[in-house]
Amino acid sequence: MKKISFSLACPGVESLVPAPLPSESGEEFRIPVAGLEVSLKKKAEVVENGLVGACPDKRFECAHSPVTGVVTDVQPGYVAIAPQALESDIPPVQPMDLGALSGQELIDAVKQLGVSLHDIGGRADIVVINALNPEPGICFSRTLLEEHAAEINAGIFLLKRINWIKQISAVLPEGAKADFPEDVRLAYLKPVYPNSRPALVAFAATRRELPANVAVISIHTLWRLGRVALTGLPLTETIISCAGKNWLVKAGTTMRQLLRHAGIEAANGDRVALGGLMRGTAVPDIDQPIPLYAYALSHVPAGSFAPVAEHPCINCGACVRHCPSRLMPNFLGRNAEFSRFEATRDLHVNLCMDCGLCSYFCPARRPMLQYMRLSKKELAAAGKDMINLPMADQ
Amino acid sequence: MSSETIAAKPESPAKLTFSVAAPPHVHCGRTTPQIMFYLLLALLPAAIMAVCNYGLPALRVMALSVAVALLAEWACVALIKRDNMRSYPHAALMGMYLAFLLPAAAPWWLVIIGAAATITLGKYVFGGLGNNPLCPPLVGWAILMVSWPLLMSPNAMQVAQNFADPLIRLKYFGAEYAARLPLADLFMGRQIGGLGATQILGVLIGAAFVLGSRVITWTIPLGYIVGVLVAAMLLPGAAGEGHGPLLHLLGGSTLFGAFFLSVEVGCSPIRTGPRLVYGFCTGVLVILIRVLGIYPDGVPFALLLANLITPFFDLIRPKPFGLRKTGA
Repeated sequence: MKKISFSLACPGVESLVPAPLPSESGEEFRIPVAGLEVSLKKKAEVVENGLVGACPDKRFECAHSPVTGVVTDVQPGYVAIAPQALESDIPPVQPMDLGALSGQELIDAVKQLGVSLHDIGGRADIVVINALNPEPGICFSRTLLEEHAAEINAGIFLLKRINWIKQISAVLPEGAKADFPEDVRLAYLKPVYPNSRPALVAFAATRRELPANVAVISIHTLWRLGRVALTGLPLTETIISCAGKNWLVKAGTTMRQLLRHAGIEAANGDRVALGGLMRGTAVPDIDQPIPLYAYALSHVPAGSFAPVAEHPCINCGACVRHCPSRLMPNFLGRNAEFSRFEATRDLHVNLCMDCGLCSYFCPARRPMLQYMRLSKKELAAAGKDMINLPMADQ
Repeated sequence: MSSETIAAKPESPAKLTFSVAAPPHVHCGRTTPQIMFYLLLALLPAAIMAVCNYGLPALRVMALSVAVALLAEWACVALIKRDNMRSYPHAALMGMYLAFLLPAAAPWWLVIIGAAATITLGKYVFGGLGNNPLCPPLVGWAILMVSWPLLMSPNAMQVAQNFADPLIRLKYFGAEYAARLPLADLFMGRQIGGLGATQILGVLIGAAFVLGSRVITWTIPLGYIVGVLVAAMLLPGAAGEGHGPLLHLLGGSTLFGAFFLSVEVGCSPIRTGPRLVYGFCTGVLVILIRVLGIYPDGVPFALLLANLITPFFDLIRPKPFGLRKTGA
C-alpha cells in the first residue's frame, strides 16, 4: 500500500537515453498500424522512412518504417519488418519542405509524416504549449525544454505557419527555464498533478475557464512536430518515459522490449499501461509495438493496491473535495452506475477534466473515472453535444 | 544485415496474463474497512476507561450492542439481498457508538432494541452506509430516550457510582453550582453520563488518532467546539464563573459528539465551508438545548437536528470549473 506523490517535478533526471533497437537482440521491428491502411504484403521491400500504413482517415497519422528491410509478417496491430539489404532499387525518401506550407495544407502534410495535430482546427485562436510533465512519475519536461530546444522551437515555427492561430502561449512548471521566441507568452504553474490537465493549463495561460478558442498542445507532441520540421522526414522515433528514465524509442519497439531495457520484470497479474499511472491505458499484450504518440510505459506489480470493486458509494465526499473541476463525482458515479445519463448531464459531467483523482481517493474503490468516461460517451452517442474542452491530446 | 542473423528468432516469450482495467492504476490506500477499523481503534482508550470507571456492566453493554449490531447487519443485508452493501466494521462501530451513549446499567433488552434500531431504522431503511440522513446510533438512542426516558437517564441508573452529573447540576442547580466540579474529575470520566462518551481523556486520545491519521478532518470538530464555546459564553445562564464554558465542553458527550458522531458519513456535509457552518450550528444547538430545553444533554438531539439541515448546508458550493464567469 504505497501512496504516490503527485509532484510533477523531477529533480536530477538525466537526458534522453536511446533505447536499444529490436535488431540488436535479433528481433524484428513491429511497426504499429492500428487504424491504418496497409497495402504491403509479406516479402515486400521497404526503404527507410518508407510508408507502411496510410492514413486516409482524418483521425490517425501515417506510419513509416525506421529501417530498410523486408516485411516478414502483417498482423492487425503491426507490420513486422526485418532489416536487410534490398534487392530492388527503391530510391530513398526525400525530405519535405514543410516551411513552404501553411494552414490546413501544413497540418495534412505533418499528419502524412506521422504527427497528428488533432483538432488545431479552424476554431483555435490561441495555442497553449503545455510544458508540464503530464502525470506523476513522468519526467521529460525539463530535458526537452533545456536540451532539445531546437525541436521545440522548430515546432513553434511550424505552429506559427498555421495562419488562424493568432497567439502562442506556453505554460511552464514554476522554476523552469525555456528558450522560447520572444512572442510566446509565458505563464507558470506549480508542477503538481492535476495541474498538467489541459483545462488547467488553458486557465493558467488565459485566466479563463474552458475558453472555446484555445487549443492545448503537449510538449511531447511539440517535440515530435519539431522533429519532422527539422528533418522534413517521417517520424520514426518517440520519447517514452519508463522507470524514471526518458527513452528515445525507435518505431517498431515492443513494450516487452522496453520493459526489458528498463529492467522491469513483468509478472502474471501485473498491470502494464501505455501512459501514466493516473490515466494510462492498460494493455493485455506486451508484445505489441509502442505507438509513437505514447509518452510513457508504466508498470504496477500485482497486489500493490486494493482492486476496484462493486461497492456502493458511502458518501464520504473524498472525491468531491479533490475534484479540480469542482463537480460532485459521488452523484455522477451513482447516476452513471444506474444508467441515469441525463442526470449526469444535468450535473455537468461534460466539464470533468478526466484527471482520475476521484478514483484515486475513493475508499469504496469505485471505478469513478470509468463512470465519468462512460457518461460522456453515452451522452455523445445520444447526440447531446458537449462543451468542447481544450484539446486533450494527452 | 543478412537474413541469416534474423532467422534465428529468440524463443517465444511466455504469454503472461495482465490485469486490464480502467485507469487510474494507483490508489491512495485508504479503504472503507480501514477507515472503520481506525475509528474502532480510536474508541479503545475510552472503552478501557469506561470499564475502569463502571466495571463489568460497561463491558456487557458494549459487547451486547456490538453483537446485536453485527447480527442486524447480517440480517438486513440478507433480507435485501445486497451483499456489496455489507460492512461489518461499520456495524460494529455503530454498536460501539450507541453503547457509548447508554448508561452502563442499561438493561439487556434496552441495548438489544437500541442496537437493532440503529442498524435497521438508522441505516438500512435508508439504503445502507452513506445513504443515512441521520447518524444511525443517534436514531437508536432517540428511540430509546423517548420510549424509556427513566431507563435511559444515567442519573436514575447509575446509583452504584459516586460520580456527579455536571449537566443535571447545570439544569437544576444553575451554572454556578455546576462550575464547582473539579475539571480533573470530568476529564477522567468520573461523571455520570453515557458510559463511553464521558471518558473525556479517552475520547481525546482517540480523536487525536483519527485526526492525525486523517480519517476525519478538523473542520467539523473545530466549528462545533467554537460553536459550543461561543454560545456558552454568550447565553446567559449557560456558564458560571471560573471554568464556565469549559464545563460544557468536558461535561456530557460534547467532545464525543464533536469528533465521532458529527463526522459520520452520509449525514454530515461534504465541502469545507458547509462543514464549518454545520459544526458551528451544532455546537450552538447543544448549548441551547442544554440551557433552554428539557434534556440535560443536548448533544444527540442537536446532532439530529443538524443532520436534518445537512442537505441545505451542502448547497453552499462553488460553480463547476467552466461555469464561473471570469474576466477575459
